[in-house]
Amino acid sequence: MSLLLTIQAAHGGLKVASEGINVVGHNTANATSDGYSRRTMVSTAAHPLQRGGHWLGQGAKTMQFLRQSDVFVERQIVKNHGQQTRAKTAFESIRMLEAQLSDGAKGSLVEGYNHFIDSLKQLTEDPGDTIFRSQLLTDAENFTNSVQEVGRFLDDRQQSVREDLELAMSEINALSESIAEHNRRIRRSSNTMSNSDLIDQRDRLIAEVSKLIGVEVHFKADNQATVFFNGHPLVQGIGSRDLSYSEDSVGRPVFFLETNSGQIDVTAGLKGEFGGKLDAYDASQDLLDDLDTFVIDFSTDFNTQHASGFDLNGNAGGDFFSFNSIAPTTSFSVDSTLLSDVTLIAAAGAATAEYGDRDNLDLLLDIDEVAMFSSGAYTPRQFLTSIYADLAKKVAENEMDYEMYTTQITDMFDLRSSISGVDLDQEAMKLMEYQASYEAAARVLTVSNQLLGELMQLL
Amino acid sequence: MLIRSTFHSRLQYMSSATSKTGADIAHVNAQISTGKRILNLSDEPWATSELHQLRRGIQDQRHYEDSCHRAMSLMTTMEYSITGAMNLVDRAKTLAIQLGNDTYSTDQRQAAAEEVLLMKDRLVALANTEFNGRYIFAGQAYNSQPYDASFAYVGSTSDSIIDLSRTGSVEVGYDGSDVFQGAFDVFQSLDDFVTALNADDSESVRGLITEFDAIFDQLDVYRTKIGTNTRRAIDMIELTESLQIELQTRLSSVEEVDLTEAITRFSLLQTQYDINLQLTTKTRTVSLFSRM
Repeated sequence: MSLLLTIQAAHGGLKVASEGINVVGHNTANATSDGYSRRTMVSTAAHPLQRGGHWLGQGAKTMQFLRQSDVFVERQIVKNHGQQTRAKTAFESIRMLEAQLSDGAKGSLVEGYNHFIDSLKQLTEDPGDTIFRSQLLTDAENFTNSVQEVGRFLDDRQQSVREDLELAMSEINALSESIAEHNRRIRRSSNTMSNSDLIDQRDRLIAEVSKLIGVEVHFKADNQATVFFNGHPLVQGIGSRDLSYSEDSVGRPVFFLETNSGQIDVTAGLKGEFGGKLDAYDASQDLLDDLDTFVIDFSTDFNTQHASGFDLNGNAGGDFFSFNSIAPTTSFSVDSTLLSDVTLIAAAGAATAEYGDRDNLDLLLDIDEVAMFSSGAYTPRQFLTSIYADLAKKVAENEMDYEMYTTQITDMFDLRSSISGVDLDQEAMKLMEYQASYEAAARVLTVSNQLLGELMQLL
Repeated sequence: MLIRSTFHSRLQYMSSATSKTGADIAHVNAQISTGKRILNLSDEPWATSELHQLRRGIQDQRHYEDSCHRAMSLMTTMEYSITGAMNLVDRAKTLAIQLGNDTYSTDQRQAAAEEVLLMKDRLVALANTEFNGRYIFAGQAYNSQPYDASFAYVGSTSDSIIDLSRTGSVEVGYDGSDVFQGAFDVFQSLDDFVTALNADDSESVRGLITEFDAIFDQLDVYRTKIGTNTRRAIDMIELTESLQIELQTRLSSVEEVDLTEAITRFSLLQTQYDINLQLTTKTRTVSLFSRM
């Protein structure tokens, strides 16, 4: 073997060790980067040289850089992101509704209703008493105010959801375009370290989209990713489709995927943050619908009975509550005429309207016992309680979903980490290995160079 | 079983475990400071209905207890008034027995007539008894005097009632015309007594003795009724008090935290948190790079 070949082999060794150190450097630098897949370098013996019937080694060379990842795990993570973020957003948002209903607090719906009924009962003890009458109107007003307040909060929440979702549309479309652009750049680049970096960046973008709307991804052999949303391609190769925001006739957000043949309604397939927000929007709507039902049915029955009685002046009663049919909950209030004159409370059952006549009050109190809601299943109080129970159930369900999906995604992340994660100890050992290899190659080079020098002096 | 555990994943695991323990500490802390096991209904949604029913039940029993006390005050006043009226009727009967005797002179009978007139005034004052703004013998028209200056009843003919429970109520204001002028009219009898005394008609005076007996019995019926109702109110107060204790006990068992258990748990979590922090610190320093 000639000294020149030895120098060449040592040079190859230096190059491989140097590239190995470079890989270790890249890995350690990205040890905490989200979505980074560790690189490994594969080196091999350089092709030998045949001379005089012998095969002479030419050192080592870098064969390839591998990006350590598992397609199944990556796909599952993308899928789980959508489910977990949806449950998390829904849980946090609906929990906020539960806090607003403030169970057990003085201003809460059920407590407000209870105080109103208590005042009504107290008035039966002294139906003509002005203070008791004022107290009844105050408690009725407190109750209607708490219903209104919850209604306005729900309206605000829904409006915020609409605005959030509409504003985030451009973010999603920009992400889709960016994924398509990364696909294009990956297709154009060769299988190098930079290619792997592009794939990592693209996969991180896909995870971001999944966190927002929930998508699934398919990877092809040429490293191209196709992103599916609700079964429809959102990004395919270097092309992407836009999502657009709209609202239906009652103001509920709807989402369309733009295709060449028109728009596809993909609202039902929403997951991620959008899906969670839409769940919260629907929970708010369910609450509003329930409260609207309560206000309409309870007020109508109460007003009808109140009108059957007689006030302290012997006149037939008017409306006790008022509301408008377009927004019953947020317009629910005590009749303004009644508020201005406590004598107008129709407690008496006869036009003689004796001071202590409580006949109509008894009938008004009976309404509290009438199962008028949910096809005769609930009394007014039970119906209000069921609103709390339903909401609490929704919060608990979403919390359970959130915990379940968090466990799933944590397991997947652990699995991903075991495959793609950077272990600093392992990198440190590789660094020592490459360092030793580099030092050895350098030593061979130095010795070969000295020998060659001595040989040259002989000339 | 994981093949590889990376430095980053180990730190992340420690971070999430520490954060979870921190959240658990905050939860137990809130339980201890509020004394409540269920901080939000979503902690135990299935308990919502029972919690609301129990709270409502306690509120109802408090309301009925107050009603019982209010009813008792009114009934006690009614009983005093009726007893006063019965004493007057008894006195009238005694006078009738005495003055029905032929040994009394015309002057003596006319002097007694003056006393009877005064008794009538006292009786009407009792019939117009007011307690806490309520005329207790005016029926439902208790906001004004039931008897006017001419002794005519201007009150209501319907009794005033207070509910002691969801299903039971008691009269706390009687129709005065029933009490004092029911089958036997006490005012008319006293008028007849005065007329008989002024007319020096001893036979008519004697004839009124049985009438006063009947009036006495008539008033006694109401006094007995009030006594029975007062007993009911006392029983209801005892019942509502024991029901409140029962309901409160049940509410506590559903809603309130077992402090011993919570404090023990808090202590365990604190230890766990401390261990997690120490582990994180150790994990951070255990790296081959730090030894190179």
